[in-house]
Amino acid sequence: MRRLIVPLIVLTLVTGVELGARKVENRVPEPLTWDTQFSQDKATQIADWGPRLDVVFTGSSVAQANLDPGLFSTLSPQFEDGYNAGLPSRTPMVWRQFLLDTVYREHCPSLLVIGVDIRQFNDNKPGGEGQLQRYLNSRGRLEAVGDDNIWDNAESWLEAHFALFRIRSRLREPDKVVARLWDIGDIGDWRNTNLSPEGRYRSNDDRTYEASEGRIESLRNGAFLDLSFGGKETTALRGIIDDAAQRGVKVVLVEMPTMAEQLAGALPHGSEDQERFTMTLAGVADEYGIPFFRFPEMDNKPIYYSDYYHMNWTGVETITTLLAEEVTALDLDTNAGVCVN
Amino acid sequence: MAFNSVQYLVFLALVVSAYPLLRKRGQNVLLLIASYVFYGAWDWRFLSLLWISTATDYLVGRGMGRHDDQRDRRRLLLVSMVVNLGLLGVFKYFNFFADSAATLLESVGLGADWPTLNVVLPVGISFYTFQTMSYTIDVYRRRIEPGEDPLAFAVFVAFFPQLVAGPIERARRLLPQFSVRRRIARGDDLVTSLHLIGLGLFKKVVIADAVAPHVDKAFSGAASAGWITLVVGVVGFALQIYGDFSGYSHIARGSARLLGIDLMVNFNQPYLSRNITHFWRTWHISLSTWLRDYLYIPLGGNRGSKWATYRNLMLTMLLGGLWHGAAWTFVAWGALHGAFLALHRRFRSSTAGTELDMPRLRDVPAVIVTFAAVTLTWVFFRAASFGEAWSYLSGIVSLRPGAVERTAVWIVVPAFVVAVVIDLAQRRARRHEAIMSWPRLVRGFAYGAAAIAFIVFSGSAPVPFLYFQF
Repeated sequence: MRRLIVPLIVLTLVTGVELGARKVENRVPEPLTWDTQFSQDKATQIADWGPRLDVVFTGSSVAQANLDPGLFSTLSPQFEDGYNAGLPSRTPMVWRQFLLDTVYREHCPSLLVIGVDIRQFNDNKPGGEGQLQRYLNSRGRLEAVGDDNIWDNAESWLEAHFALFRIRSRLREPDKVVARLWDIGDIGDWRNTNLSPEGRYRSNDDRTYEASEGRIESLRNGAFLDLSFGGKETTALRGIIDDAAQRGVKVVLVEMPTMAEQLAGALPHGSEDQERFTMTLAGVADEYGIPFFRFPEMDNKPIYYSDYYHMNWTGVETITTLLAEEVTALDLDTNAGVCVN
Repeated sequence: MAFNSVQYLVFLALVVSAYPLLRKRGQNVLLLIASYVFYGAWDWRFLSLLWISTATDYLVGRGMGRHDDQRDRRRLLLVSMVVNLGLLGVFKYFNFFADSAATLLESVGLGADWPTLNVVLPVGISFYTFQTMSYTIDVYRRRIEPGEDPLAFAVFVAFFPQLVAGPIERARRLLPQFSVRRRIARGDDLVTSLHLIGLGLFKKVVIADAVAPHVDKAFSGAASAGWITLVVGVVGFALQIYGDFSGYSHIARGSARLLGIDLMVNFNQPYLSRNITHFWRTWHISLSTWLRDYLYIPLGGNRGSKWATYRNLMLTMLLGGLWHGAAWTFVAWGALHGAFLALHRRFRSSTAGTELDMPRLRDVPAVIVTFAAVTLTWVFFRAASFGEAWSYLSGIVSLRPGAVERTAVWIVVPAFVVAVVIDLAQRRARRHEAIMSWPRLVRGFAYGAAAIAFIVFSGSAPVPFLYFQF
């Protein structure tokens, strides 16, 4: 009997916690199985999308917040349905994989708009490779592409049967659990990701421009640390264009406008780096013979921005309109691309 | 094949199952094949480096055994050093020195545009080259006889539990263990082995991996985050690297013990140290004793003047820093430790006790000061550049205002408490598997809590062991 004391206590404790988890489960968000909530929400939106998807936007938070697919479709009616697959804080290596894993698995769009800014092209950006690995290894993604192994299946089984497994990713943020259950503190990013049905991030829409020296400092030592481009991130950009070409998807490349004068303060060689970046993009566009758009008239105009690169609704409306005009002028064939998986 | 993967547990179970069916030679063949499979699972191409190191040091050892002339023996030792340090030089340090030299030349107005190598750092190269070099040095010094059995020697170099992240074993401890038939662990030995593996996985998953995302966030926001977030981040890194590396060492020792092999203890509750000297006697013991025996003492150790001793300490720790990584931030980390060790040597009291004494209440300030000093040095170890390190430290020193990352606090503080409780229990019991001697009731609650924590913190994308990159 004494030998059973230890296993009995363990069983009692685990059972007690499982019962507790069942009780609170409906008060915490769904399990996070992708690398970020944005990837997860967008993967779901894309999987649930109707049969037709004419235009897809990709990029980072800048493309995600600044390019509105609904407005674009209104202004360019040949593209009836659009979706913004931009992923905040992610780089071209992840954008490319996300397009392959979600958009191209389900859809054959006619046009891909790649909206970029210099922050995502630093090959030495801390954590870039780690982000890709986290994305590639996330169970939600593995399940979505059918690459899940026996261990992933076992985890799915455990999640299907035990609430503790279902809510464990949420329990790793105990402050938010407490905030949600007892209304103490803030639930932070457990709030809705505030995506439009077409995948655009809407939280900056009503904001006015706000400068921040701390942000510049943070960029200098983060996104722009040991700035070097032309390597793996540019190769990933070429990969995105190759993937699209293979599927008959037309591509346009857009260098997103920013508060460039302020941002230059964070770049190791100031505006020279910015020019070199523009030249690199132009070179890639030339190499593939794809249109490359810039909207310098929107640079350095605080009225369009909520910070150095994210736009408020005035900016979103302006750049989407300018882009729609340019794309319409191209008179592209709008037959959807060829589905190749 | 990482220790924190299901593949490894299955692999280990298969090896342990086949082991008792074989005699001594068969056991060594099995261990050698298993070790090469284990290593080849990362990148089979780098097996050739392992073979070069193994063949060179076996032949050098045999050669030394046949020569009495000291000059011949020295030449053979030189061959071993050139091959092993050459491998390290090409695969780990070439680009670092090439870039540093180019920067230096540029700074004096001379352009240097020489090629860099596009090579991946082979996993564990710093560990197994140091292990085999210690063998040839010991044979050269006539501390051990050269190994006769090439199979046993190859297993000594490639033994999978300690191949990629140590402990860096000495031939005189490990090699003889491959010369006899081993029994797999049974009874208490089996329970101890499983406890070590379980404790290692717990430290990796529930302490190291749990704090890892918060550490990443603090360091990536070094330039703008508030001081509390930065302090929590670097304390988190102190926990992460400890949980990660000591967890790995526990799993290595537990796995080896299942196979009847006793590996050395690599960590002895280092954060309970009352001074920096005690810290280095309890942190990564296999490396610190290697540096002591093969670098510090040959440099003169503490046999000369006090300034010569300080110089020797500083040189040893600078090279110890460089061993960790080909970057000046690691050199700075080593330099800080060298300076702290020299300072401690200058001002230490003669009644410091031993590094394994249980700290008493009056020792708490010394433990906190030592932990703070070590944690300060981790900023340089973790930062991607000096710029990031300075930003990080200036944010703390200037008490930079900023929002507190509450989730980080909620994870790092309990993880810290758990790590301290584990260390105190181990120090008190003077064994790593201290929990085995606890009363059943307490043990039940501890296992239950550990199981729940393990469920909660497992299941996210696995974080590779930090020391694989060294």
